[in-house]
Amino acid sequence: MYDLRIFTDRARLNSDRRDIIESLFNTYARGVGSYVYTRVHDAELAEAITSRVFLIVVRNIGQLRGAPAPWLWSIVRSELSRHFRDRKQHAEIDESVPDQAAEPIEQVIHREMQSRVQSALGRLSDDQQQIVFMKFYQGMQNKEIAQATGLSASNVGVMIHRALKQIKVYVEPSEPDLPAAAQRRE
Amino acid sequence: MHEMAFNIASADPHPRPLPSTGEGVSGCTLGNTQHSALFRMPPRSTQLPADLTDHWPDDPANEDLARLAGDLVSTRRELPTISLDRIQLRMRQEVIRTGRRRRWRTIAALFVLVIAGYMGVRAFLTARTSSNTTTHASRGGDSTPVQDRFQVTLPAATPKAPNRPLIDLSRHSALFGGPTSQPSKP
Repeated sequence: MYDLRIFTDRARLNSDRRDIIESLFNTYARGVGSYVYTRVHDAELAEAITSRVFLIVVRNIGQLRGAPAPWLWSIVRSELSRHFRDRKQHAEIDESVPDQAAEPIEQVIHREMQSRVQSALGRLSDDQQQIVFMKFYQGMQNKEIAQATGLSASNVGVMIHRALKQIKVYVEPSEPDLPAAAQRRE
Repeated sequence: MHEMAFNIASADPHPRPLPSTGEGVSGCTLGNTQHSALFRMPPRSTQLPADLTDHWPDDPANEDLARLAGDLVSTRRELPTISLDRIQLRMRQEVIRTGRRRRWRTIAALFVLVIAGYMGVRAFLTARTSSNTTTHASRGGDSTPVQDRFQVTLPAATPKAPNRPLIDLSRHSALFGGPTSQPSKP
């Protein structure tokens, strides 16, 4: 007689696959969306890129081995690089600056900080970007990052420290910028 | 089959809650599984990670770096919930599409297998039958012999053979060294 268990096993595998995809989305989508939004500075674009990321997740869920965060990061990174490559080739960069006079000073500072962080993140090394993504956008603990990346927890701590130092260098206004910023505030 | 190394229960500590309303997302079911009950858990915190400064090397700038980390978290852009809902809906549609595609692929593969099997069996049977005939003929067994039949018409009256011999050998015995005898006059 035929062994019908193969069909029930397959159905269970499909169901598991769906559960895993849902679980991945519920755990990581907010962080992925947030990171992509921070990088591209455009909500619609961020939605499109995040959507593409999760479509890739659905299609390639069979390739997931071990911890999902690094795998997800590799998809996010490749989709972002594709976006920046395409933008370099085709699209015009929107350089329009909002009317800062109409905004309260806190909002101006906040916006300025966001754009500085955006450019700083893009200048970090791949490893540092991955660590920042996991730590500040996925809210993972050092132990979780260590498990996912195969590093030790202390190593992760040191890498976070270095990444922040690097960001600080990029975020802090350079000397020639200071008078301009002061003038704007006046 | 792919081996899933990802454990849902352990890797999903702070998933995003499912949207309760909006664009039909809440009513979306996959197969017989309603996933909303599985993932109703609090979202990840937007506060600074508690173990942020763990394993940091001694550095006078640590305080500044911790403040910068706070800025990083507070200036983080968040995709609106409606965007996340749309992404989730697209992802679920893709899950269904992928499942359907996989099912069709399985059916097509089974169909090809059945056809190939049928052709194989047929070819095998044909080959076996022809080889049997050849073997039988070469053995010269009870194959039907060729028969030629000709219709011959005999004349109605045939001349009768004479009673006396055509040559009377006793009259010519001299020829064979015997006593001569005058042939009697008839």
